[in-house]
Amino acid sequence: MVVTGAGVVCSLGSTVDDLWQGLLDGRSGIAPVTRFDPARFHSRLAGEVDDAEVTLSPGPYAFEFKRMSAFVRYALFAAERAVEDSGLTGEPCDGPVGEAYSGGSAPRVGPGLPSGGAVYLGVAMGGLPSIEAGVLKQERQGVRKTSPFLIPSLIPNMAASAIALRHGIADEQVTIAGACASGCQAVGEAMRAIRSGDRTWALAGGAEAVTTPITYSGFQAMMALSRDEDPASTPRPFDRRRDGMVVGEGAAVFVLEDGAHAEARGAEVYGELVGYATNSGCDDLTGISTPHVVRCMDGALADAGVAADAVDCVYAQASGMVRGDAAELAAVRELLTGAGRRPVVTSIKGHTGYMFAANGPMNLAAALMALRHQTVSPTLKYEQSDAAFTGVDIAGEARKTELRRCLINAFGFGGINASLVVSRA
Amino acid sequence: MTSEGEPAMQDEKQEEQQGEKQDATQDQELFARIVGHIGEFVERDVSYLTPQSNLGTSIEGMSSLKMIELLLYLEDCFSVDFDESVMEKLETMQDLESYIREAQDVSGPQA
Repeated sequence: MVVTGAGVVCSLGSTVDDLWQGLLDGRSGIAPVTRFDPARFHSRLAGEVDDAEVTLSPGPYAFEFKRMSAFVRYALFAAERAVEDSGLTGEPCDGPVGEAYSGGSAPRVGPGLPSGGAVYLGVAMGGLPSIEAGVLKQERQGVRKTSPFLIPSLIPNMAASAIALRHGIADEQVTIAGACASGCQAVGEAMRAIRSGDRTWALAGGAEAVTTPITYSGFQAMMALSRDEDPASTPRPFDRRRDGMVVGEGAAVFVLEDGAHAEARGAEVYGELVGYATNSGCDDLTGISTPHVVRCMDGALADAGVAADAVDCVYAQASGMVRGDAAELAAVRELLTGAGRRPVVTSIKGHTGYMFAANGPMNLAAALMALRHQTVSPTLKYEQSDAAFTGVDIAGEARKTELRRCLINAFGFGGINASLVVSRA
Repeated sequence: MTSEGEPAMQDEKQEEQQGEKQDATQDQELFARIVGHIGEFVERDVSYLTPQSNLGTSIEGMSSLKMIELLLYLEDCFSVDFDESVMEKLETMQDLESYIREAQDVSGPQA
């Protein structure tokens, strides 16, 4: 199963090349919050998307989607870039007929996509900004001023639905709400659907945009947010001075295809998805548990049919949290016990911030580019190593090296762990 | 009486006619403003709309949710509150114009 198209939007830009160049150049997308006044919070920073870049071509539901919560718009934007990038076209099956188009078959953007496909999208928190704004509007202006688009704009499935409706994908749309592992699980479940023969291709990924006060108060209450006020020095995954995460926004969506299907149409391939595992287990409700993460990564390697020393690079969850980063690196070390060689470990969160459901898919986008360019992107802001991480090879700088396979991690509250293995094309 | 009354009647008639003309002008202005605001809302030219145009079918891509959102938008534009029970019954542009005019009369003159 291969990846033939990729679309991303995050604080580093709105193309996969923007992401990769930003990662290599050590550019930080972290800056002061602009979406609200964050003065009352410890953390006043975010990795925000530049909304001016998130344009939507004319087409079905363009009016409605402009009113959607940001995670929907970002997912749709990323999906459309992925479709363009893949060159996937075909005789579309008729999509479900929308109310606005009751006179005929559902219109769609572009030349249409072949039947036999699906959308698998991960979303953790959905339209939290819309919920918060809706509550405030109701309190200030009265119940009847609530927009009829409020509920459609905030329900987590609307990202997958928007993609399916815009592109006339009628076979299946699936939304996975697995906290910050959602996007990674969505890619993995799409893989399984294609492998089983149920689907020949899928649009899969994750999206999140929750830069809103309730997110900051909620994560501040959990002591999860970095208190560092300097965007140049936070978040700093793996660094011994790391003090928490910084909220980021983003979406990453891929076109996954059955290998023979992609080959038959001469598609350009980013890489091959060869392993996936997800499991359940944590030491407390929100913590990352080393033994369960070991089991998860081991499962992904087994699914790929490779041993631990076949992995050259790990794109880690590593958010800059004190315990979380340590638990993940302990798992990587344990996984490699007895392995012939150590993979280099890196994190993109210092560049992009923590993108919740989009974490895994954004890691996948970075890993695919790393495989293509045979270069590991650096862990930005990592300067002082933590004594506890001795023996783990962390990429402080961009590193040119032979890369055959990357392992990708994403973990979510509630003990949801997910790992992917991707091989070079 | 007759000789005195006739000019008075004529005056009343003229006033009535002037009033009707004024009402018609105001109606046209209101109609044009409604069309303008609908155009802003749907982000396209809807100057083809006439009083007989059906609200649900004459505007491309209109849906039930979009119609409710449009009415909320027009409430803000004209500083009026629509009665929810009436909102469902508005069928034509004429219905909409009449309703807004009545709502404005109830809530007082608008700037």
